[in-house]
Amino acid sequence: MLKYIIKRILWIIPIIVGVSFIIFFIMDFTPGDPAIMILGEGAKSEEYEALRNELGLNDNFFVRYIRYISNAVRGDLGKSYRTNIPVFQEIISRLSYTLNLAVVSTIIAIIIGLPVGVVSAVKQYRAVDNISLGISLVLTSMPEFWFALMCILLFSLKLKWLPSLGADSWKHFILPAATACTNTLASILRMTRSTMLEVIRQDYIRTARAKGAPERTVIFGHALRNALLPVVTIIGVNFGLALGGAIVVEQVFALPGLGQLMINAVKSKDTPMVIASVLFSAIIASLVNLLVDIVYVYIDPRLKSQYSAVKAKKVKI
Amino acid sequence: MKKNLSFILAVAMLLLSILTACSTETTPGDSTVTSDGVEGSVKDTLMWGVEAEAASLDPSTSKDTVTHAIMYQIYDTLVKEDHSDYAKLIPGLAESWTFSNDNKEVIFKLRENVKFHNGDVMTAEDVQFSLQRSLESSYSSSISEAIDHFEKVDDMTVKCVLKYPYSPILDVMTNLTYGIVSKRAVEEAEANNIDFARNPVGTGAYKIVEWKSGDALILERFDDYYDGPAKIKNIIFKLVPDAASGSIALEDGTLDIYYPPANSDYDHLKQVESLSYVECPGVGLRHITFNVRDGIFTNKKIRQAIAYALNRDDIIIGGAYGYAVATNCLVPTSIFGYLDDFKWYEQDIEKAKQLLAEAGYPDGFDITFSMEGSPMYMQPAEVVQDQLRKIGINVTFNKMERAAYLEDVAGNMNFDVSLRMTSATIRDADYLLTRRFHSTMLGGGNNYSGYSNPEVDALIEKARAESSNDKRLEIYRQIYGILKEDVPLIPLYTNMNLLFHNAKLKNVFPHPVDRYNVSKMYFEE
Repeated sequence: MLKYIIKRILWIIPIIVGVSFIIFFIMDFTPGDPAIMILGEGAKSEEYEALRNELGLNDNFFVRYIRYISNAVRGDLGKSYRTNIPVFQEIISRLSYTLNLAVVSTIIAIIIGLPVGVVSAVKQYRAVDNISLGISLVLTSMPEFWFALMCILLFSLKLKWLPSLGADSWKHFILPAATACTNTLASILRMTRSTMLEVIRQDYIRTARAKGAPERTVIFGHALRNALLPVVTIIGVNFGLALGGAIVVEQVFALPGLGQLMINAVKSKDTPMVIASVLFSAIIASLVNLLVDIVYVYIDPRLKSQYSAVKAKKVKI
Repeated sequence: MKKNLSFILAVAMLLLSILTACSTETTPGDSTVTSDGVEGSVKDTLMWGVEAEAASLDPSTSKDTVTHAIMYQIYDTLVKEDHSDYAKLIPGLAESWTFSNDNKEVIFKLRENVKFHNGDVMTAEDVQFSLQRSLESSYSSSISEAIDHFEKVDDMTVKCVLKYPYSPILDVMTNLTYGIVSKRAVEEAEANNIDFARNPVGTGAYKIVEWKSGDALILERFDDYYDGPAKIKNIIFKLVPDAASGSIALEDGTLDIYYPPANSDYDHLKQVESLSYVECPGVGLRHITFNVRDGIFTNKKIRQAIAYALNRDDIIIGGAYGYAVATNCLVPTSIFGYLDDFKWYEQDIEKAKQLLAEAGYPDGFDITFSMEGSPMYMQPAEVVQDQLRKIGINVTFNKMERAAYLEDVAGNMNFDVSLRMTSATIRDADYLLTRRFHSTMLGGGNNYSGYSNPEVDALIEKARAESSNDKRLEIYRQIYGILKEDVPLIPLYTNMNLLFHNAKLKNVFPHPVDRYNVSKMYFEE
């Protein structure tokens, strides 16, 4: 198992190199001159030219890419064109906000989505199933920014229960997390329901009931555990995306997270910041995928036995 | 199962511990903080929402409006504007100034006993260092064309040496680019590898306490401020990128000021009882610019036809929700050099069609407007599109991101026609007329229509060297007459600058470039 994890972590390296090349290429070949963005419109041609030289923008694409990678390997991801702050420092300073939002919204989505999905499957075609399916449809279809503004209007402006923006205390994260969890919650609910519906029709569930196991044990002990694999995948994918920054939510609630950082960097053609943010998201996504694979092993005894078997075989040899 | 349950619980505990570790509790953000006993203000924290974060708080490397609005509280300039009347220039860090006989030198006598935030007393050395440092920066070149250098005359006197007589020089000296920094602080920052742009030391009414990247900038009153300590103790500049959220936060009292809300929210915000507002024309001029060096718009008659085809009042309603002033000169209405009695083309569809026929296009033609894709440009452009259809011109849009637009249109002149905005950073007609129409500004994103007329060049130079304001205005009248005939640009409207604020915040006055002096404001019950 440990060898597998190390192997997977090593696989992240080529992924990062590939992603860095693609994003470097995109930033370089899309229109927009960083020198004009930095100095504004009023500077002289020779000042733009001097700045381009200073930033190394006049060098060949491959020369610049190799220089970027070699600096990155030494831990230098460059400085923001806009603020002149090291981009690594800037990303780290934003991480806690995005992490808070991602963790809270995912926990809310799991706490609500999973049990409601199970109930929905067990009570298929009954009122509770129809209502939960309807709600999940609304949550999936609703534009995030609209839901966010409606939440602010109701809970901040009318009821005055919660702050409308900022990140100063835990209260500030309630509305953003409620907004950010909507899609994940709906996905978990629907995925749990559909996989549970498949599982509860299996022979071994019928057998469990026939041998007299209590219904609660049948559903949560036998059925849910077998239905969890795709649900865990959905949670992992959404959690990975959330860690890359919830752009809309962070914009509307003025949360200084990675999403906001990235969108502002793209708008101002802040190439070092864009590349570093995307690389960071790629690393996070790879690590979350690895985590999901590890969780699979704990959920599915067959996978666990596979690893154990390989280990035992090698010991025998 | 128990083993797995413990694993899940362990993961949950870990996530919760991360969450707890990451959560921050800061009290300065609480907008309900009450008075600390400072005379004149019942609330000691002003929450000011801004749409973008400051890029740099170093006067020599900053130029955007938001940054300057923040820097206005941290730095002072030699000359400043009166708090209640922005058109009136008053002594700032210079207590007086005199011009040499040939108007090529300005001698500034400095105010005594002015302290920096680090406790140092301001000297001519600091002032000369600050001004020369900004002058040599690439960021300042758009406003520093006329300045040759700055000299220290004695301990309390500094001289500004000009390349040629330049009437708007005092207005240039009000610009935050020429804010005064502590020389010692800059040198120490350089020696210790500290970023001065994030650790500024000025002489302003407020000093920086904390800069939470991407979130807020916290300032605190500087008690040794030369003009007396401010009444409001703290200012928190809170980043609120979404205008709709900013308006709601203003309405629910989270923010005391939000600038700028969307134009579409103005009518609603005016009705909110807890809010007040001040307004004046801004310095942004929306205009249509033609490429007069290449393509169909090299033909003057076509440019004139388009000028006749437009109804600017309708463009203001459709493009700015009515919050703008139709502009008849080639500069915004709020600056020196604008002539109220100068008339631009009035809409005359028949005349427009006749001019098109004379130009060889009796049935009109198809044309593409190169546009920055933001609604602030697209909304008026769509009204223009509709109006040009009436004379047979079919408009399509090539929408671009700002970075692409600036490179392609402003930088490379790769366009036929565009609707865009130009801002009078220096509130004097010379600034925009020089940058947009003088031949020396061709290329480099300034004279982007490619217009060149030796007569206009000579008149611009004559006006800037003239010390009599009346005579300057007459020269500008001549320039506008020539430009009206040649139509390299069509002025559309000057936007209105509305500042919405907590109604309890008093002594707030409008300003066209957002230099709102918080040190003079206070909260009332």
